[in-house]
Formats: sequence, structure tokens, C-alpha cells
Amino acid sequence: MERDHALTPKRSSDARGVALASAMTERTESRTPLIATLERAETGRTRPGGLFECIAEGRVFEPVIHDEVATDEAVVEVDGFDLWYGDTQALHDISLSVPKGKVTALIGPSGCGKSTLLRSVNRMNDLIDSVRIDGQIRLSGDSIYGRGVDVIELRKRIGMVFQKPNPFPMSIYENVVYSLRIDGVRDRFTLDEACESSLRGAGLWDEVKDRLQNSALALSGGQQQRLCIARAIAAEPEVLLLDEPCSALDPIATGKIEDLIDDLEGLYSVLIVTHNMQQASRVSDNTAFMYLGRLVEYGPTESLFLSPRLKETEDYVTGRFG
Amino acid sequence: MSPETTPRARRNRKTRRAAILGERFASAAITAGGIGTILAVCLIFFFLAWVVHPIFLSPTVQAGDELSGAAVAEVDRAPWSMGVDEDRLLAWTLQHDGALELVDLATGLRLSVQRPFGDESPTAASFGIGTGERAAFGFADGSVRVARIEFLADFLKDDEVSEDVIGLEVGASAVHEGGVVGRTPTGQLRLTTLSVEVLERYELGTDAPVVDIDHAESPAGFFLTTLQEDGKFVVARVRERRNLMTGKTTRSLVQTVLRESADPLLEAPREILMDGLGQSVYAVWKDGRLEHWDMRVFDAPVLREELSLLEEGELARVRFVTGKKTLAVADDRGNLWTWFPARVGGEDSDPTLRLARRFEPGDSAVVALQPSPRSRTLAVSYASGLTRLFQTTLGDKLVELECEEVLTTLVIPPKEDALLGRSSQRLWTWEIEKRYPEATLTALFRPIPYEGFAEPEHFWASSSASDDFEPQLGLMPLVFGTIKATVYSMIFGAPLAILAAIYTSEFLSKRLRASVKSTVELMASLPSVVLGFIAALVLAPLVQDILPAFLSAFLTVPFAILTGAYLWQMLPDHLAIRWAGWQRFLAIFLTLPLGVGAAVVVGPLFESLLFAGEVEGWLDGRIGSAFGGTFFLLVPAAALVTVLLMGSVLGPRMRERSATWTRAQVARFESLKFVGGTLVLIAVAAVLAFLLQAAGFDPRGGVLDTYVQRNALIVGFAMGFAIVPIIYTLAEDALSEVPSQLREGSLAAGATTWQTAVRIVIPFAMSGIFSALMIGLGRAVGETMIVLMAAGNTAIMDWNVFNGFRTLSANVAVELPEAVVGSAHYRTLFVAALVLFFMTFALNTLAEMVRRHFRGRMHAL
Repeated sequence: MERDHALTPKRSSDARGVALASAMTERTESRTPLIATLERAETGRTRPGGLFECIAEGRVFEPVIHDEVATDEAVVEVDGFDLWYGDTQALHDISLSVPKGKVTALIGPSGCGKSTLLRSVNRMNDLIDSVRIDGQIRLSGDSIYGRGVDVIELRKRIGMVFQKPNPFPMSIYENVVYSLRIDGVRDRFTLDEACESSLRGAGLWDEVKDRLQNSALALSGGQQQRLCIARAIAAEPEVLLLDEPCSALDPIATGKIEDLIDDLEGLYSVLIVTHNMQQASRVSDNTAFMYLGRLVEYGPTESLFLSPRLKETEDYVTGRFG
Repeated sequence: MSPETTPRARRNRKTRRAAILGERFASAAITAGGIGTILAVCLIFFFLAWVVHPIFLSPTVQAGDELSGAAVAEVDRAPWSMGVDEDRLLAWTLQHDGALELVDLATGLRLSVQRPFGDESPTAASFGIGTGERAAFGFADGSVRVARIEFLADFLKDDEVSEDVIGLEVGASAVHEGGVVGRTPTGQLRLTTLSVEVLERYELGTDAPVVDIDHAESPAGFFLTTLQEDGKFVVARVRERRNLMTGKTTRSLVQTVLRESADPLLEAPREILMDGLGQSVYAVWKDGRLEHWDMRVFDAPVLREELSLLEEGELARVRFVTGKKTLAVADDRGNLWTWFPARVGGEDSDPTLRLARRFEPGDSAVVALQPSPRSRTLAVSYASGLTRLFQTTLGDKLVELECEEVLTTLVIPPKEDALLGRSSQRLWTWEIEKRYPEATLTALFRPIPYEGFAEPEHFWASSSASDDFEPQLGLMPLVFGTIKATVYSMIFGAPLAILAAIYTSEFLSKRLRASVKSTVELMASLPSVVLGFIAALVLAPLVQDILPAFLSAFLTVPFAILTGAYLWQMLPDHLAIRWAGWQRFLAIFLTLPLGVGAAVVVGPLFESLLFAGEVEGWLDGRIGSAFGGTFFLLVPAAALVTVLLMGSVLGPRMRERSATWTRAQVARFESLKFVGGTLVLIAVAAVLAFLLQAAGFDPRGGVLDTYVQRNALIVGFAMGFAIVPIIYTLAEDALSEVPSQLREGSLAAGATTWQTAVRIVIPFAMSGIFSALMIGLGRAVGETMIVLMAAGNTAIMDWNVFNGFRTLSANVAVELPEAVVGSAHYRTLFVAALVLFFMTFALNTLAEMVRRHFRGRMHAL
């Protein structure tokens, strides 16, 4: 496990976030605003700044992928992946690899397809009738969309946490051991152990250890979300998908979740979708920026935020666009 | 566009008057609608309660008008009998010496005296209880004469009568042409006269004086029984044939001698009585000893039994109550009992007398007993002047009144609105409002020893063609029928509807779901009368024809579906996944006809193996041993036991071992397990059935018994069909309302759709599913047409699935149109409606409470 990524000065994620944020503010003043960029594009000058136009018109372009992310061992590999909702194409030719043991963030404006991409990894999109896909996603080398793939088995290998906390209407204990229960585990000892270690892993053990048999619905929103994370890691997944896990939470709960994600790093491979730039900068090792169903730029978080290769990425991460 | 060019109206910050008015109107209309609905329900309830409430009122009695207690001709012996017409205008009295006097009750004047038998005086007399029945008289020369004493009514035209009669007001009366004319409420003039006809004369037995006589008019003929002074005791049957051509009536008389002569050592019997059918003759002695002669075979009378009617004391009076089946027996200490014949020893035994009721004892010897011609009301007078009215079915005392004189003769007029009593010199009248003594709460909801019943029972038989029948108003058989219909239709409909709802909401694609749901909802638009007649006229005869196959289908269809499922597991992975769409759907549908086909094939096999070759005969209990049916019934339970057993014994052991197996290996193993399980289940069921048979258990007589074409199974099917759409729709809504994030959370955790449904979706939707079930239950409870047409409508309390029943709702539908408005029957039907109302009300309240309970648990999300 490469816990110490070259570009990630570890220890305080908050310090890192503050540093990044101030760096962004500095540069905001020195760059040309987006409108100007677009105007330039209208005048006919072709330069990378007209990329959004280019995407909106459906012209093909090559996403910028930093070299650093290509070298890591991948747990999820997306390869030329297209997805349609009915006649509408939501993902265009996405190719990226999620490194093992690291936190990868997907950012982009609303409707850019980052959640769709995330849900494609554990085939949650199968639940929608009109979805059609092309291309390939591999989990540790096994094709996800191949013929004869058992979706149930696949999902057992992947944990997922949703935008809104969704504890099941049962006790805290039963929530955590749900994945073991459905596998038919009845041994009390195994269940107790899994429950405790998962809750400890999710940083919830001390808060709930005395009321494991109480309803999970009585927990606060932040606790519920951590419970969902505990439930996801109880299944010992190969990859953990987090779909905007903090969007429904207050700042304190958000902070706790972010700390938790930091702690999970190295133990689990995490793919997180977030709207919050600072969150992405704080918790992730790598970040992928998507726009209108396409991958735009993908690279280590530090370099994507501090020295993006594309002007559009910079505009987005500095908040000038999106 | 620049901000300047954007046309932006200044927003008017005052609410428009129209909006305010609309808001007020809407809230007023909604409030009115809501209150109106509650009011409507309350009004229905109060209307029902209003119609029902008179049955809870007690009867009342008050002294008659100023003529009550008026002196009449003084007699030294009590008259033979008295009669009053239905308007209480005239009363006749047949004096002991044979004089028949007619009294105008409005004035107390004696209108006429006639001697129908000339100079002769009857030595014995018997009168029918109902109006217009014949009377029989015995004479000193041993002869018997039949007579008819009855009131005739005739409507007069105004020009036929004199001036003072024309001026009569409604309710008033005047003497006219030997009778009395009264003005009816509709303004007509009605003349009531007494008609006395002396009919045939018979010579029975010897020429010794007749000391007692009784007679019976039954469809089998006119029966007479006489006891003569020399002890000769005969029964005669007169058959009357009317020649249709000539109009002449020919009579043929046969007689049977019960006793040729008196036993010199024994006293003569006090009274002889003959029941209304001429099938039983009773002789009663002063000490209460009774001989019961069974005359069902007229030529071969049998002395069925001898028993003592009294505990101590002497016999005072013995008479039949209306219907001439129940004997009212009174002693000289004021005790009163009723006895009637019943098959005490079972269906096939001979009827013997059993004590039915013991009435509240009076303070002195009973002087007179007089049954009402219309109902089970018995008037009793005591030597102290006390007089009471009893309801004989229930044994209740209705009214009690005191008279300063001893009433030796009593009469209840046909309308039962009064009681007339005659002492040796006066005629007394009391106005009585009897109300509904036969419809008390006890009568409606408790087992009652009805006439002819060996045991007190709940029974419903509300009306009959004849006046003298005993109304049996027990509502419990109807409540039972309602529950039975509900239970059997829920057994069939509820699992089907809930499983269908789960399937559509959890397993079907959204597009298919919409069309399937609306198709099922279309089922609800099928009128229940159509379902009813299809069930009664098509399904019922069909099921009876193919009963073995039909019963086998309950086993073969689930078996076929399970077999299909296991075979599907055997498919190679890539095929199983590629065919997960419509192909699998088709396969599921194909297993159904396969199951039905298997039923047709194995049906006759089952019949010969388990049911001695004939299911209906077996059910009837005529042939075969208990084993087959017990086995058949035990199969589902044995299946459950086997599944649990295999799950707990094999499951944990195989989990470790099968972890490394491929899918195909697991599928093969599971199929083997299924086959093995089936064998185990057959063995378990067979062993259990054998043991139960050895222990003397026989399912026949419980839920299985004699097959009747229109039965609970048919109703269960038809009504299940009616309640499936409603339960399905509501349950499906409830399931669909489960937040999709819960479903996704479970699926993302690697649960199968079924695990998600069972562990997450169904518990969450439980409140909705439960209220769906309850509303379905409410529908089944209130459903009328299907049960009316397909249930056979016999009011029996029997869980037998192959027998019919009668529900409250069907009963109201059938009987209300023909019930006399305001009668006890009519009001009882309203009680039935009220009971139904309470049942559905209780169900809905319970449903709401449980729904809230479940919803409260899920509320936090």
C-alpha cells in the first residue's frame, strides 16, 4: 500500500484544504474569466479554452490523464464506457482506472454523469429499465458487464454508500451485519465480531455500543451515514463507492465522515462522488473532473487543484464555473 | 438579454379577493364534505339502531276499558272454550252445557245464544289453537261430532245498511244483522259474524260416554283420539278425498285401538292429547305419569315411553302450545314446564319427550292454560287471580297481572293485542303490547332449546308458511357463515394477492408493472353478481365433476412450480442470465398448465389410493379409512416441517462444503435435495397420518365432510377472485412507496431481489399490506352477491370446507324483501345489519390501529 503519495502531504487534511483554497483564491484574480474564454471561442479562435463548447457540440476530444495515475495498480478499470438512458447518452467513452487502496474523487457540475459512472460500477443502473451500455468495466480484472456475470456476486464485492443515509428499519446491529445475514451467517460470534469491527472502522462504535439493539432510525443523520459506511465495510468489499456521502449532512457530521474517509484510505479502495471541491481536495488522492458525460481531466488531487493542465478544470475547481 | 429589457411586472403584494374567496369556499366545502360523511355514517348507524331498539323494550299491560270486569251470565262450570275475532268486536263462549253465546265486546251485550248440538251437551271437547281450525266434541252416547266455529268477515256497501251504520266513524262499531259492523281505517264497513257449522259425526269405539277427546289436522288426514268411560282408548284417521268432477267429498275412516278397556286397578287418565301431525298420542294421569304412544305407523302404535312429568304435586292442566308439538304442563302448586319430543339419542333414534323449559313458578295452582293462536305465547292463570304471559321458546315471563277473581278461561285474540279472561261471572280485558319477546338478546346470540332439538343450539329459521311455527332467530349461524366465508376466501385470495403485489413491485420492470397492475385492477370491475353466477352455475358443477383432479391440483401445481424452479437452476450460467427476461416469465407460466395437467393425471390415482376410489363417498364417511384424507391434509404441514428440517440440519453443513462448488454443482445438489425432500415429506406425512389414524383421528366431521355442490371452497375461489384486486392494488401501492434508497441499499449490499423484498421492503410496507388485507377482509365480510349465489345459504355452523353457509349480508338480502315491516323478523334482520356494521367497523378500526402502529415504527425515515 502506498499510503504516502508523493504529492499528498499527509497528517492534517484540513491544513491541506486551507492551503489549496487559498492557492485557488490567489489565482482567481490572475486568470481570464470564463466568459472571456467563451467569447474567444466564439470569435473562431480554437484553443483548449473552447473545450466546453467542443463537448456540448459532441466533438471528440482526448481527456487529459496525468501520468501519475496510470502507474498505480487499478482496482476498477473503466474502459471506453458509454451509457444511454433511453435515447440520451449520459456517458461518453469514459476510460479511467481507480487505483487500489486510494481515494479517488469524481467531480463535475450537476448532470455530468459522475453518479451514473459510480452506479455503473456495481450495476445499480440495471434497476433502470431504459439503460443501455457499451464498453467495459473491470473489477480487479473481472469484467463487470460480461455475459454470465452474476450481479449479486458482483455487488457482494463492492460496498456502496448513498447520498441520503439509508439505514434499514431494523436495529443498529442488524443493519451492520446485514450483508452477513443475507449470506446466511448465523454464528453469533462471527456476527458480533463483524459488527464491532465494522462499527469501529466507521468510528461509530463508542457512540452506539450500548444501544446496538435500538432502532437505527433513532440515530442522527451523521451517525446514520457512518452506520451505512459500517454496513458497507462489514462485507469487506474490494472497493467502496461513496455517492456524495455528505450532501445531506451538517458541517460537523461532514467533518466526521471526511475524517473517516481519511482513515479508510489504504484499507479500502474508495471511489467518491462529491460536489464539494474542498471535500475532494481534502479527502482524495486522485480526482477526475467530468463534464457533460465526458472525462475531462484526471490526475492526482494536488496537481489537479493546484496546477491543472486545462483551463476549464481550473475554472471549475476555483468555482468560476459550475 | 440585459436586465433593462426584461419585462418584469411589479408583483402585487396584496392577495386578490378572488383568491381569498376561493380559499374560504374550498375550506368550507371540504369541511362540509368531511362532516357530511361522518354524519351520513352516523345516520345509518342511528337509523339501524332506531329500527332495532323496540326489541329491547319490555311488553306492557294495562287494564282494559270500563267494560272490563263487566258481569256476564253466571256459570257454575268453566266454559269449554272462548273465541274472539281479530278486531275484538265479538266473543263467543261455548258453555259447558252446549250453549254457544255471542257477546258484543263494545257494549258487553249478549247478542245471541244458540245450541249447535240441540239438546245434547258435549261430554268432551277439543279445540284447535289456530283460527279457523275445526273442533271435535264427544258425547254421552259415545259419538263424536266435528264442528267449525269461526268468525267470518264481509265488506258491506253503504247502500246495504241502515243510516246509523253509515254514520259510523273509524274504529266505532254497531250491531248489525246478528253480527257487528265496524268502520275500518280505510273507511270500509266490515261485518263480522259468527259461523257455526256442525260437520261430520263419527262413531268410534263403544257407546260409553266420551270422557276426553283430542284431534289433529295434518296433511296425512284428520285424526281423532277418544277416551271413553269404559276405558276404551282409540285413535282414528279420517282421509278426505274431494272428487274434482262432482265436488263431493268422500271420507274413509280407519281406527286403531290403544286400550280396549280400563285397567280396574288403575285410574283413568286425566287427559289425552294428540300432537299436530297425528303422530304422537299422550295420555296423562293425575299424578303426572305420561304414556307416549308413537303413531308414526298408524296401524302399529308403539308405547314409546312412560315418564313422570311432575316432581311432586298433582297435575293441574296440560295443553299444547301453538304448533301442537310442545306440551305445557302445570301442577297444582303453580309450577309450569314445557316438554317436547326430540331425538335425544341421535339422528336415527326415536323421538322421546325431553324437558324444555321450567317457568317462573306461580303462587298457587294453575287454573287455565291458553296458547296464543299466532306465536309462542302462553297465557297462564293461577288460583290466586294471578295471570301471566310467558314466551315458551325462551321461557321468559312477559307480563304479569292481578285479577280480583279467578280466571277459569283465557283467550288471546288473533292480533295478540289483549288478553281476555272469564271468571265465573265476569269478563275481563287487558290491553297488552307484547312487542318482540321472541327476539331478545338471548334469543339472538345464545343457544336455545328450540322445539324438537335434542340440545340447545344456535339456529336461524326465521319464517315459514304456517302460522304455528317457532321462529328461530339465532344470529350466530349467520355470523359464523360470514366468518367462514371470509376465512376461506382470505385463505385463497390473500396469499395470491400479496405475492402478486410483491412480484409486480419487486420483480417486474416498470413498464410491465403498469400494464399488469391495471389489468388486475380491471378484475375489480367485474360485477360480483357475475362472479356469483359463474361460481354457482359453472364452477360448482365443474368442480364436483372433477373433484379428485381439483383437489390434486392443490398439491401438483406448487410441485410443478418448484420443479420448474429447480430445473431452471440447472441451466448453464450464460443461458440462465440471458433468459432472465420474458423467457423466464414464459417458463413460470408454463409450469401452471403443467401442474394442472399433472393434477388431471394423478387425480384418479389419488382417488383410488387415498379415497377408496370415490372422493365423495369417502367424504361422506361411507367408505375408506381416515388415512387418505389425513395424509392429504398433512402434506402442506409436512412440507413445511421438511423445509425447516433440511434448512437447519443440512444448511450449515453444506455451507462450508459447497463454498468451492460451481453454480452447476450447487444446482444439481439442490435438485437432489428437492427430490429427497419430496420423498421425506411423503414419508413424514404418511407416518403421521398412520399414527393419527391409529389414534382414532378422522378428518371427516371437521374441515372435511359430506360434499355439497355449493360450498365454502367454491365461494372461497369466487370471493377470493373478488378480493384479490383490492388487496393487490393497495399492497402494491404500499410496496411501491417503500423509499427506493432502502431497496438500493439492500441490493447494493449484495442481497437478491427476494431477500430485499423479504427483509427490507415487506417489513417497511407492513402497515400498508396489513391495511390492504383488512380492507380485503372488510370487503369479504360485506360481500353479498357471491355468497348469495354460490354458498347454498343454509344457516349451519360447520367448518366443513365442502359445505355451504349463510352469511349475514346474504341473509338480509334474501329475507328483508319478504319480512313484514315492523315484525320481529324485520327488526332481527336490522340487528343482523347492525352486527355486520359492527364487524366491519371493528375490522376497520383494528386495521387503522395496526397500520398506525406499523407506520409509527417506520416514521423516522
